Amino acid sequence: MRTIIRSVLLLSIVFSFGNELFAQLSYGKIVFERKTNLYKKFKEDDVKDWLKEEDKNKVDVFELYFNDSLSLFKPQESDLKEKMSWATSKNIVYQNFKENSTLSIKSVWGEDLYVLDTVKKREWKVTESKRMISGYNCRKAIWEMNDSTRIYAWYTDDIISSVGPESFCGLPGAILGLATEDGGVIYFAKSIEISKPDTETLLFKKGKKKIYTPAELRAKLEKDFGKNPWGKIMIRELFSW
Amino acid sequence: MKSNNAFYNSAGSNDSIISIDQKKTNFGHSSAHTASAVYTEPLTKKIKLEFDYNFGYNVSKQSKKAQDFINGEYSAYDSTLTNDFENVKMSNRFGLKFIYESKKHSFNFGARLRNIDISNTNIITDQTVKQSVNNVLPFLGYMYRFSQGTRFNFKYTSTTSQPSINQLQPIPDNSNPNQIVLGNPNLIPTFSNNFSSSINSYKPISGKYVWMSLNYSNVNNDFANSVTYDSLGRSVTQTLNVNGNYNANGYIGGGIPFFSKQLTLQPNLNFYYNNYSSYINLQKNITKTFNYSAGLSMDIDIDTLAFSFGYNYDYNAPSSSLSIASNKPYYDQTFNATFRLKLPLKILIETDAKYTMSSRRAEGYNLNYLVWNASISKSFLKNENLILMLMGNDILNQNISNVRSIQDNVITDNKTNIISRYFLLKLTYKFNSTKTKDNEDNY
Repeated sequence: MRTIIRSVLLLSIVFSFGNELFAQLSYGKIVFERKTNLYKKFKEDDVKDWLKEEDKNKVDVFELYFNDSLSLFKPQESDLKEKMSWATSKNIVYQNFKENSTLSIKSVWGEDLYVLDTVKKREWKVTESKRMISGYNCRKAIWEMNDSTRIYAWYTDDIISSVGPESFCGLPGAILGLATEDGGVIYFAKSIEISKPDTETLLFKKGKKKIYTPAELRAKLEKDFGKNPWGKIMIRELFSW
Repeated sequence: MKSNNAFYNSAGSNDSIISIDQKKTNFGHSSAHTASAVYTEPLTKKIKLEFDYNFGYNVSKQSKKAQDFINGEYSAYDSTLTNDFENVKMSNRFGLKFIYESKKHSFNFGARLRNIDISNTNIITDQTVKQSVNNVLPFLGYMYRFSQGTRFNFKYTSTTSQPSINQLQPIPDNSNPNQIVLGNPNLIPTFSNNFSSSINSYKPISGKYVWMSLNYSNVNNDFANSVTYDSLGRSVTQTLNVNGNYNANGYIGGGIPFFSKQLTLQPNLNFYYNNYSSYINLQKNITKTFNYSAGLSMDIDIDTLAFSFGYNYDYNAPSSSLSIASNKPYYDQTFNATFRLKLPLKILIETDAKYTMSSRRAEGYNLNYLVWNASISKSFLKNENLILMLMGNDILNQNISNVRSIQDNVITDNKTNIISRYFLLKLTYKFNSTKTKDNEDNY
């Protein structure tokens, strides 16, 4: 009888600790798959003339490494040649929540541009809608980007780090799914690894590179390329969210 | 054709007269057909195999009739100058290409196997000469992508050309009696090895770019001219196969921006070298041509005002092993300037000037001249579709064409007056302007 009580007590302790550990996840690596609908992205041009229906979705893979105060979001390295690499942009984003800074490395026409900003504060409206992503319970939140666009995010409170793809953050858990209202761009977590990332790799090394503020970069690009139709598309894409 | 040629001996007295009175009827017709098919089979995510097949069918007919003037009319055919040929060329080409592509590298290599069947029929004598040529033409290519805007390219290709019906046709042509052209039925096709490499980098955000290239090619059994002068000074020309011809060229140029692209320096350098052989009076003449040019231009762009200055030096050194008189280098220098000013009320002033200096030419051909153009224009309508322009072209009326050409052992300096000074009042309306706002550029 005593042994039974002791083992039940032991098991319950183990289970309760197990649940706590699960709920306190504050570091890891999430692999996101981003699907971009090129028909919706290039809706002004005659996309259907040169892009076939079966090729309209472009898939890019990203990795998000994070711990309790830092995160690094970057494209997954691949040795394969990328089809239509110009059609989507692949940014690297370093976020430091303790110092309230976001450093983005934007690749534009073959050159890397470094932009430093504060962590963006977004007003999220949490809803009751729930779904499972990659084995985690997620809840839906909505952000009103502007009058015509809303962004949906699914976050899980099983991962307490307030991180997400690109520069998205500020929810009570990690964002595992992100989509624009029309479904033109969708980020979806494919796998989650509970491994502690090396802190050194999550920090950005400044070096001799020129770092712009978003306003400075926008002004420079408007001046040089604002009157060019391709320049306008590039600037719109760069500052989309 | 009526020709009267009088030949004089060194004492100045009449040595002989040769007269020709013939009716010449020439007819030529050619047709070419091709068909091709390509099939690509992917083997892995990075490797592909490509098969290609090409079929060609060419027919060309050429007939030259020469009738002598006898008893008041053109009647009897001069058999030495009359011929009627039909040339049929059929080619089958199979190719196999291996392709490897990864993020940084692209590599391909392969070979083509080509068979050409040529049959040359002399319709008058009903004789046919057949040739069957088989070629293996290998090729390879490699590209390395440093980044999105910077890449290195290397390519090797092999090509061959068949002799033309005019080069093969074994009948003399006397349409210019002082310049006789003979055919050569023993000509075989040429084979060239061509190598090219380049590095290109273009960065639109920082405004920097650089282009450089280096190319080399050599030809086996190249077609060369053999010119023989007879005792009367007439030339007899024939095409031969020669080995040892090659050429090389290279270029490097770029743009270096300063002060946020308000000032851009554009240097460039290029060279060209050509080594080819010909025969004069059955002696081999090796002609080497070397040319290099160097230039620098500076562009300044400050909002409404833009101007540029440039200088270019072009040096030519030809040399011919049999003729020392041709071996004199000559050079040209040019200075360029442009100016553009945008004034209020949509008025635009533009002007450009080019000063050319030619040196080391023959007496009277070392010309310096300045060509100056200018225009003033005003745009109307919201998207600037209607433009009224007053322009002057070659305002100082100095433009002239001054060209030196060297062929084998002959140097020719040619100057031509060009009538190009004019003034024009022009009204233009653009139907398809893509501009929608005042501050946008037109594309």
